[in-house]
Amino acid sequence: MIPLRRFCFAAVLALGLVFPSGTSGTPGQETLAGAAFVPGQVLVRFKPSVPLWTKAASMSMLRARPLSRIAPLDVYVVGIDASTSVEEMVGLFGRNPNIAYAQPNYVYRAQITPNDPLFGYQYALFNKGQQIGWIPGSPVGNPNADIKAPQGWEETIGSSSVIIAIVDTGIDLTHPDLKNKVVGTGRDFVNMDSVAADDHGHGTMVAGVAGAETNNSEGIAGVGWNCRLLPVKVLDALGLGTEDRIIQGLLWAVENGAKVISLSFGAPTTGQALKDTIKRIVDINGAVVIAPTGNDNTAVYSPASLDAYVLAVAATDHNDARWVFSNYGIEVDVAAPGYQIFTTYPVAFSAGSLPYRFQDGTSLAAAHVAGLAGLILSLKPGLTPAQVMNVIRYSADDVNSALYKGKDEFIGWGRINMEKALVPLVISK
Amino acid sequence: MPRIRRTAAAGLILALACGLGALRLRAQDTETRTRLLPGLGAGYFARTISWDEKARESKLKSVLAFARGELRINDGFAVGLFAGYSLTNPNGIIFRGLPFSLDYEAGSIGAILVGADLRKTLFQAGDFEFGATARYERSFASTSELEITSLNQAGTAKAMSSWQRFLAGPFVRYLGYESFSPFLALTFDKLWGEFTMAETIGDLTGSETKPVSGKGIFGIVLGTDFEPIPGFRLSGELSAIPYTKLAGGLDVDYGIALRAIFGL
Repeated sequence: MIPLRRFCFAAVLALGLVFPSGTSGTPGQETLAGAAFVPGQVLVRFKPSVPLWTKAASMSMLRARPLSRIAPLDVYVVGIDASTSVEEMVGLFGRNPNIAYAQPNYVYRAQITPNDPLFGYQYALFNKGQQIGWIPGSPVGNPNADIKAPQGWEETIGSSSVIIAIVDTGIDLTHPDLKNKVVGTGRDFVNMDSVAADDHGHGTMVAGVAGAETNNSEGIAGVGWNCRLLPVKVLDALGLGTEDRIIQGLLWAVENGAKVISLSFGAPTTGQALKDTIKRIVDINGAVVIAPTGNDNTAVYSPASLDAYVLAVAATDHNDARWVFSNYGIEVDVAAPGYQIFTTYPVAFSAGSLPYRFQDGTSLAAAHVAGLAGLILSLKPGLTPAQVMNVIRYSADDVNSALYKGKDEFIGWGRINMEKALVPLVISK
Repeated sequence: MPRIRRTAAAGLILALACGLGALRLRAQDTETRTRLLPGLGAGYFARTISWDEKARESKLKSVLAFARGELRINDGFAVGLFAGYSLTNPNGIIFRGLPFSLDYEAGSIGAILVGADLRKTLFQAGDFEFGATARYERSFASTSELEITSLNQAGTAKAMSSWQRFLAGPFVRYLGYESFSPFLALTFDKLWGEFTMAETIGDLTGSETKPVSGKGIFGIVLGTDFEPIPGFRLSGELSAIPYTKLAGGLDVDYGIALRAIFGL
């Protein structure tokens, strides 16, 4: 009797391996899009001494069937019944004393890594524990203390129809990593002309983070990848700007198609006229407005403090800790890396060296968020500014939860996470 | 000799067969014999569906169980009505029209199933019987509520599924054996439906409805009727529907069904 049973089970197992089920074969690529593991499959490894007929019986009892076998490891790819979830089946197999382990057949993503040669310095986008800075002996960051850019780019690399306005000191229009990303030559409300060139450097640095030309074998990668940049110069060579210029710049930006506004300035107070302008461009023009909290370790500056209309961004560092100079307050919505951020710098100021530099500041943190907002709107152009802001808030990682659980006044909801904001969330029981 | 079929526990069906008697009605007209035959059925199918305007595809799996009544008017014409329950697993459908995109991987959603079928024998040639068969089944919309836990704000997702299937085509049956009769049918087999996902995460709300349709519309059904004892008949079948994969190349979807009919 036993030999016959062994024969039968072995035959079933062999048949199962030779003729894998057509209904549960390896799913197509589209089926796996966004999935954490292959639906309807688990990987099972039996203990070394387990005979073939016991393996067959173990699978049969759970209405599972072998689809293939990875011989060197003696791991079976097992198809499971549709009425049982992968998690349940892993648990059921796990109780079997003949099984060494059972696990989901996880889906691993080919992550998009841009070919920009200086991408390795952008720990903010992908932190693998690399050195932060040019100088040997510079500190290294915690791996994964980043905004998960490669994972987010798996879902979208943005659309050139989404325009991010850099309302700042202008942009270096000749910069090799920016010249192909800017929309025209912008508008200069300081010198009142149509060439928003950067005579300070701040706007060029912000622009590089938000949308440097990516995958162009040149320099760095921009968070917004394909999103385009609109230079709007409202701050002068000293980095100062008047409220009337800023208002004109904001109105011009939305009139010229900007859907994301990166404001890289602040002051302790804001005039009513600027408040009204921001309210108008959000409510009427549907633009998402993002501003830094400030770099003085004090209360959040305005316009970041205009809570319902502006996403206030604080800064973190290479260890996901709050950057010490980042302003704080209940208005803080989220945080992003703002310490030692490697970004573009005007060619004219680089004196023969590479037109890139490391820079600190919540403006750079805000620029990361502006790039993410551009990607969200590329993927979901129908979202309102309030919805985009909430997607960014709710998807943030609460990286200081050990000290302050939930939203707090230092990093708000947490450090932004592009993967959670963009990649479909897997809903399982 | 009905031929609408579902898979499931044969043991359960046999047990029920012992407890149930056949209903049999006989019309006054000696020319017309009308009989009402009760039955049970079960089935399973895995069907590749396309969505997002055929740009994406995934598998729709469904397990069905139902009670069925068959009205036979003369030999060779039968109309059946059935009602029961379906467990439909639409795993792999991704909803990108929501504020947060959601990938449904939560398994089966239960729903009421109803349907009707008919079979008509057209003619016989020797031991072969030729005829036509058709079936319509509908799994009504039902909702499954799930928690979204991967964000810093608690949320819920409500998934709702409904689908319909219609198949029809000619069949040929071999009548040369005493207690079982194998048959082969070529079918037009259309599956379509709608899947809706609604999410609520903090202040964010959204809903997206995704029409889906089965890939492949022509299939082949191979089955047999088996009468182990008088008054009890089993019908089993295996269906195969070829389709073109999104990535190119051909593949085949399978289904299996088993049905028990009581009465002479």
